[in-house]
Amino acid sequence: MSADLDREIDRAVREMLDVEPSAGLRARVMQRIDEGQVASGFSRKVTVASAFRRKILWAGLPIAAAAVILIAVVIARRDGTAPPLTPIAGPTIAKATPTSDPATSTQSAPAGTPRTATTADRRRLDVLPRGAQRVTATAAVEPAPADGFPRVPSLSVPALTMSEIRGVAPAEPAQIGVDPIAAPAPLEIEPLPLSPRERQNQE
Amino acid sequence: MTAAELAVDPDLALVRRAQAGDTHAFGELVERNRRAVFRAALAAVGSATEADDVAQEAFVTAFQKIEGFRGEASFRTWLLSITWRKAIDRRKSVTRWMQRLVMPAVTESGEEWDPMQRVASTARSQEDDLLTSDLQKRLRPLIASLPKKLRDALLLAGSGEHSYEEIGQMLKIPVGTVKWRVSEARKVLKQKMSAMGYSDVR
Repeated sequence: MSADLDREIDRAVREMLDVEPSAGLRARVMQRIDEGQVASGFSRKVTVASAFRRKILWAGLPIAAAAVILIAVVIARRDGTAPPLTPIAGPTIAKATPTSDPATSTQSAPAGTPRTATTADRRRLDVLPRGAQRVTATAAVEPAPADGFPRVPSLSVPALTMSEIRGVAPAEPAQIGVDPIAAPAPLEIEPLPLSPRERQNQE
Repeated sequence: MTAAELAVDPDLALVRRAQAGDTHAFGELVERNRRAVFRAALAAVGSATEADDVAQEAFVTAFQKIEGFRGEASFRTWLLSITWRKAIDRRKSVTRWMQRLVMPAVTESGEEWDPMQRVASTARSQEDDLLTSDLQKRLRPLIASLPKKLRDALLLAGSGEHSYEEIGQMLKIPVGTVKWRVSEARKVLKQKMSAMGYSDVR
């Protein structure tokens, strides 16, 4: 089979694309343009600008998300960091006890109003060793009695006493002796009873 | 606007009026260029319906951006570049859609499914079949199965609507590369036809 292949290829390409655009193309384009102008309110600039804004939005979304995550991580780290373990003197903890003496309080709370311990105070107490808490408890300032109220003695904790830990001296090797093991008692094993068959054989 | 400018781009007077907000002038530009725009879209997407949609999108986008048209290239070349971008976007989305929903991702021959295959497999009437030679029937699937770069250049050049310069602008490649791709596409097709038993008379 022989043919002018170039001509046949050209013909095939022409036939593949031998389709006319629809007659209403112009009308549809103009309708969309008119709709776009009415919808945007004033000019085509708005439509172009909104497309640009959409692109900016798509590009900015991942950046914004990354920034939010970063801020969250920073805040979480800041909250999770414990304050330095410094010994706390009485007046510092005394802020958490009720007081009516403004001079002893670092806060300007009204007299007689007990100041609730803040989250930071509580956290500090949680971190401190037990001994430090006892010391600060005894150092709490006794509040002056208000008019018409009975005086309540402040809590007191007895001083901590600890018995001395005595060390045990290790034994010398020569002092270590092992008792000889007692000879085991001789085993007595009773003979097994005869089985029914053995009994039959004997009989 | 000088006579020389108008000689280079006959659409320029209408473009200036459209830039001033004259939608009727833009309508005239649509009428003048609709066939070239439609054929370019058809060469990329392979379906008349989708080519019509792409052409519509391209004209609307051109209207939205016409204020930015500076006249470095002719209006027709600028419009065809917009059309080609839209058509390629559509081709990619159609391919993805078909791969997900209808067709397997990879055809039996191991190649990615291509919307252009619809052109080759379009049902034709018996009369058409009688008029179309056996060789023509075999050529269409072969053209559709060409690598996209070669096929795009061959179809655009063979549509009779676009010059090599315009095709180069659309595909963003030099004119020499366009010519090489068209020639290479022909070479590949001839090799395949030879393998099927057809010989060139020349």
